[in-house]
Amino acid sequence: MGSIFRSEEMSLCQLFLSSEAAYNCVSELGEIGLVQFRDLNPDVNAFQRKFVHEVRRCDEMERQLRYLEKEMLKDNVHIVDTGENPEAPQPREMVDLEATFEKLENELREVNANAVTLKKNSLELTELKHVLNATKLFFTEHEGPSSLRLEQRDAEPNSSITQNLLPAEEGKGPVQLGFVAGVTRRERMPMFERMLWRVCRGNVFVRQAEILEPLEDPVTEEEVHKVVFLIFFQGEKLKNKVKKICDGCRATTYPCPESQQERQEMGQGVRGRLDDLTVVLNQTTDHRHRVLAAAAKHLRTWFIKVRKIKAIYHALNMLNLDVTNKCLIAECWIPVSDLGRIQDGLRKGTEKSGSSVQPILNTIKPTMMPPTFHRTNKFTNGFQALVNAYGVATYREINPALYTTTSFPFLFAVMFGDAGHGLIMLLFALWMVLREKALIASKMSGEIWNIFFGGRYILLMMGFFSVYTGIIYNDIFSKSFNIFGSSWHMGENATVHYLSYVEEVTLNPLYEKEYDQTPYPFGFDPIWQIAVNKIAFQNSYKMKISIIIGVVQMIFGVMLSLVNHLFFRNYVSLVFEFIPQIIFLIGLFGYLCILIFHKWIHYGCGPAFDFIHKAGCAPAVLITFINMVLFKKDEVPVPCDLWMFDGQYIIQMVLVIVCVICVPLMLFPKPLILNSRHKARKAHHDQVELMSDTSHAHGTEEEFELSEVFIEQAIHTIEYVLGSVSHTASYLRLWALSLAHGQLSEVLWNMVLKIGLSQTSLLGSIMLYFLFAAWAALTISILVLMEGLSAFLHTLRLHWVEFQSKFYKGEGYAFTPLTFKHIISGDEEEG
Amino acid sequence: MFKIILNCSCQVFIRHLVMAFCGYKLSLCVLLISVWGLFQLLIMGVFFYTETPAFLEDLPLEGLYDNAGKYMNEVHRGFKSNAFNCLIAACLYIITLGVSGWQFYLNQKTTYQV
Repeated sequence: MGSIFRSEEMSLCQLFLSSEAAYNCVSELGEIGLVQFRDLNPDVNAFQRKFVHEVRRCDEMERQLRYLEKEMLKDNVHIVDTGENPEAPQPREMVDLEATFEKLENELREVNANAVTLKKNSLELTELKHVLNATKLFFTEHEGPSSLRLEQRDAEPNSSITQNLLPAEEGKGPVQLGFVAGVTRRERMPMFERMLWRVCRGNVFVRQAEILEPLEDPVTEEEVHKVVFLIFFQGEKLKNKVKKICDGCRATTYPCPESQQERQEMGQGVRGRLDDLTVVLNQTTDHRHRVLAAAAKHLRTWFIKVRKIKAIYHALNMLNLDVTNKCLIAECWIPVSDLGRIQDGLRKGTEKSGSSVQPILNTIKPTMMPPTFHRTNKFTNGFQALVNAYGVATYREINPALYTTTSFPFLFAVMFGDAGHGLIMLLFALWMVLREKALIASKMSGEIWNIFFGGRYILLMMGFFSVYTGIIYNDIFSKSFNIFGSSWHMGENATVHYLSYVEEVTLNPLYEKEYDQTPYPFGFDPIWQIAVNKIAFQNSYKMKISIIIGVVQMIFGVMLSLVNHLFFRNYVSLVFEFIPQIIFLIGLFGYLCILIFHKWIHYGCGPAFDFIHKAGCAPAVLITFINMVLFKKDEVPVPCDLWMFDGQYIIQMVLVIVCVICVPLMLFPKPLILNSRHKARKAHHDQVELMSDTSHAHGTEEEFELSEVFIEQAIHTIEYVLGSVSHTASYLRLWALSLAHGQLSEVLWNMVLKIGLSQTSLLGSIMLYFLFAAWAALTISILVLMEGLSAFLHTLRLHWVEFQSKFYKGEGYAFTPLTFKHIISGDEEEG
Repeated sequence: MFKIILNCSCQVFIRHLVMAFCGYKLSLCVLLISVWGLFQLLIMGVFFYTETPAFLEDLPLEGLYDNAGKYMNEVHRGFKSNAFNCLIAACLYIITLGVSGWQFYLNQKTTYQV
């Protein structure tokens, strides 16, 4: 029977599955999620495993699904998540799935390729249209003056732009100007022009016009600006040069007819073709969208199915094939309390596969340590994760997570004690917890959000406890509440005459008029808020409280080690580790706590306390402790007494001597006993061997090096003895952080919000309006987030080092069953 | 034809009036701070009005006073003025709450539409 107190009992089982039923049985086991398969083929290459082809097919299917998903995201098609959990399909259905995916992928690729071609054509036609427009502009510009001159000279109606402007000289034929029209990118134009100028030695004439609208590049789908150019030249050689340069500079040329009429006809043809192309392009995109939308409905289900198949085949790869080749053998770890469920699952699997051979599940004795399995619910999961981050518990060791659920938030709250900040944390955590289901369904991404959301129950507890300690420290945003009425009053000195010459008044608890003789019922008295010696008083209290809490937690930790020793029947450790350890801890540091309590109770002012117990005579506990260990005696002023109670000197001496004796008790006996045990076992083995006369190999050659065991024990002893001093002092961080938090909070109020409150006019309200927002932002960012994180870290350290080092070994490995939960919940895990 | 154009432009103009000028996150932050500011400033206003000694150090006072009576008058005046300042700031936060709540509601609607 398992619980969060201790990890579950695991059994190593051998599973015999018939080949037909194997797939279905593993699928059922995966749905249950409580079986961890051991890899029986560890030295087999991944490519030589039995089901490598199926795994490859699954990979291919996943690739196709990912391609589909990418295309859907590009088109903003909404992928439906119905939240259903489909079962892993049968192996024969895999073929259908493969066919569907392949068809979809091919269709999509074809559609995409067609779209690219259409876009290319469309681009060419658009460029041609722009070229025609630009050349029309150029030629009409020239047409005007040239026709005028021609009319003047020759009165010829036929005005061709390529005809020479000057009248032809006799003897020479009419010189024809050729031109080339084309389009190139705007960035390339200057380079192109310069190249033309240099190569043709300035004998070409270039005109360019920008295309105002950006054109879409069909392949990269980005918008580029292009420019239309016209190059005029004379002669064949220049024509060839120009053509070569155009090709070299990747400028596309278009055939442009010379006469106006031909250009107009071409323009109309281009416009018609462009319209047709746009229609076809739109239809193609619609078709693509429809295909994707139809596939989007099933995409999640397909993903889950394919991933489940892959997981099942990975698990099947770990099984061994029987000699008869008819059944598969598996070795798996199963929690003992779940054996019935596993049997049911196996039966269901065999029924589904239609096989008549029932699977056999029998337990075998494990040779290695079983995995550690903690059954957690959504509340304890967070705390278990905190503990596991340090180290997974050894098999069947006491689980510290159970105690961490309370001690962690409590220690956090001691360091964070402010009711206002605790309330903010509490409200945030409460929102996350109450809206759990909706927040999980919305699948918000972001690592920081996931961290906060995963720890929502931890935050909730921390918030609760912080509000509690905030009320005890009487600190809400650095102000105190006076609910019950303060026990301190001004008394007879509250006269105007007295106050006019005295700067500070000291309230003496001795006088009835100044102190009610009964303390404030719950928490710090609100008078301390305005007292000048507030910090001195709180320091003393918080330091002592920190030591007491620390010693209590450490003693508890050592007690847990007792439970572990009893469970594992480790009586040597019980007598020679636990007993000296607890005596040492209680003898020295438990005694320190007793001194603290004694001082609190027996020293004070008032008629109840006699001369040696007056307030001025209270000895410093730390000095007393140091003197105890050093066997020193201090001088004290009359009439005080050095000792707090009778026989203190004798008691202290005895305690110190006993504790000193405990140290060698921790160090020497255990290795010697283990050594003698090992020798006895070896002698027994040799005797048995002698008698039986057959030299069968020893099962396990138990190694035992005496020196190693001694060194290990020495390390443990030193760690414990020195650690008890250093860890006790380490708990003082509970005081330090709460002091820092209180002071930061006070500084923030005084430096930010008080400015708005110290205004005399109504302008103060506007200032207060803005300063409050600044104060609130700083409170959340510095005091809640930063200080919260800091206190969290320190609490974590206190648990991991100071608490767990007393009993926790943490040398186990986690139980990783074959489960489909992460496939269903999120797609972050990869196969 | 002209009337249709006029109609369309009027609709666009009116829709612009109810457009969100803050984003989703900004309106949410301002909303939360306004709620907090409202509660805290209200409570602080009440406490200043009832002259709690805890807020004695937050008053607008000069350093030294010769006359005890003058000092007490200043204290009372300080408490009252701070109380009113806090309550006025709380009212400003009610307005901010309204505006940011309206913006948040608009942003929620548009995200659902998309």
